[in-house]
Amino acid sequence: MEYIIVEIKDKPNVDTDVLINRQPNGRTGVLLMLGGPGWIFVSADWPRAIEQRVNVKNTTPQHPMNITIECELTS
Amino acid sequence: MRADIVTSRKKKSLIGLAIILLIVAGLWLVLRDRSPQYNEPLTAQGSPPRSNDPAAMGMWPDKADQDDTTLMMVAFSGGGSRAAAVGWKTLETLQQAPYPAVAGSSGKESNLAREIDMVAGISGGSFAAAAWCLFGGDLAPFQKRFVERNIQGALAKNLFSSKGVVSLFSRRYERINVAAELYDEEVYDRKTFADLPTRPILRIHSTDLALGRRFTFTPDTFNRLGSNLASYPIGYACAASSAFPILLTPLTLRNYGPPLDLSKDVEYVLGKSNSRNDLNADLKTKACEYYNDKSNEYVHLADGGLVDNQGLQSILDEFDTNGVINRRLNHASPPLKRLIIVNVNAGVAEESKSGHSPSAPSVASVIQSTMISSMDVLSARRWMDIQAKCIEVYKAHIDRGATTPSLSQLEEPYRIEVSFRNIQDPELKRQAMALPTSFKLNAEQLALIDKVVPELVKEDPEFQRLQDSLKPKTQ
Repeated sequence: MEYIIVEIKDKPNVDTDVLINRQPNGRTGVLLMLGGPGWIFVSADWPRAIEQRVNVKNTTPQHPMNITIECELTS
Repeated sequence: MRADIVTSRKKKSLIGLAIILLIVAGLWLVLRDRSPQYNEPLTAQGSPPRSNDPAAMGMWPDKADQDDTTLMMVAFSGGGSRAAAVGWKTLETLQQAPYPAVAGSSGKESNLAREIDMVAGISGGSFAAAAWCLFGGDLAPFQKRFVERNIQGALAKNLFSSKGVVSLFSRRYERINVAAELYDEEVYDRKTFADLPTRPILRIHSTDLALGRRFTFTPDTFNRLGSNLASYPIGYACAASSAFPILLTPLTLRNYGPPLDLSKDVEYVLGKSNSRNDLNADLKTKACEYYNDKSNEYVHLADGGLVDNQGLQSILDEFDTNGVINRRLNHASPPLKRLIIVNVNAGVAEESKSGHSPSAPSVASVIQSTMISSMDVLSARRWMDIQAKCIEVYKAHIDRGATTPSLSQLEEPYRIEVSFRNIQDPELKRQAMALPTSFKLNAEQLALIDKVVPELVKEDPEFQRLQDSLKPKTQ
């Protein structure tokens, strides 16, 4: 199993759905489990959130991968 | 005079033979293109397929009269009527195990069987799994229609009926279709996947003969075939799951076009990236490509036990990212307290006597060793993999439960095993291990199952630990 924590850039206190492989699975700011190592798509249910494709491996509950979701700039 | 009689007899015989040949040829001409009921294509006008897959439902649904803090998965192995009977008796025993009243149920005590969230079935076990989901906990109809019935006798009778004649001459309507219609009409009241409740989630598994991999009757799999699972009969899926090679012909599905755009398919795109290090991902992407090649117009399915004879891979898959267990573990409102996995294994293994003789083992004995025994070893490995996953999950609770709401309440996961190998009494164990793999059990054999299964459940140390956890705590 692998472990991640997802946050919105510059908004560490936002509590919203995390989208893993485009499906809601857990919330931002807390430890989330993944089935195993490998590539995943990660995003969050937040305006203009930019999806990332990350390779998660070699994590533990104590040392999860921190993923920061950036948002598109608004004009 | 005598020569005339002989000539006349010869003539009569020849005319008789010619008439028989004409009838056979006529039947062949009329029946050769007779088709069975295939799966239906997805239509633009038709309603979208109803899904019982939480991945397609969005977030975790509320469970009206179930405990939201418990997730319970049950896997029924193959083994003909023996597997169905062992599965059914296990469910009856779980139904008799009290479960504390849940909020919204007006204080009425529940039972453990009502907490089941997902049921996976292979071959004979698929019949019990489907019946549990369809008949809503009412055990009597399935007990009468399947467990206590001579199903193979009914099948043989149907093979000698007009349906059997059709199966003899048709290139498409095979023996398995005669069986599928029997299950559909006489066991499941012509119910389809659309008649299933939202939960328990039903997973019926068979084997795709072209890919040599598991084929699961889910809306997602049918979407890849351009087909609608909702209108597919449950009895047909059980027939595919139990189509044991040679005894029964494979069951055929249609693969409809047009192909999907795989470049937009998340599962496929990521599967491609992960396939080098992940065999499951590799097999999934190959299946996506195979079903997307619409020149593969037909999908031939055989017994699910050929690749997973206990249904445990089905449970393991739910630990994967976005699987039912994975999503529930990441969901914090409310946090998961109990993860319960029940492995109902009706497998039998008679002691081999090949070591008593200098002669080489018989063909049957070699088949037993190479096919069935190696499959049992694989299933044992899967059960150990589930144990390892449970330990890992519980370690995450120990490490991070204090700061992770979704893991804060988690108890050590419960892994209950109902298996004849755990019978303590040597004579009872010998008798149970000698139960036949067929679609017919006599009263004596059913009585044996009725005796041993409740004891196996109640004596399981994990079941006892669960019972202790469910007892009201004294202050």
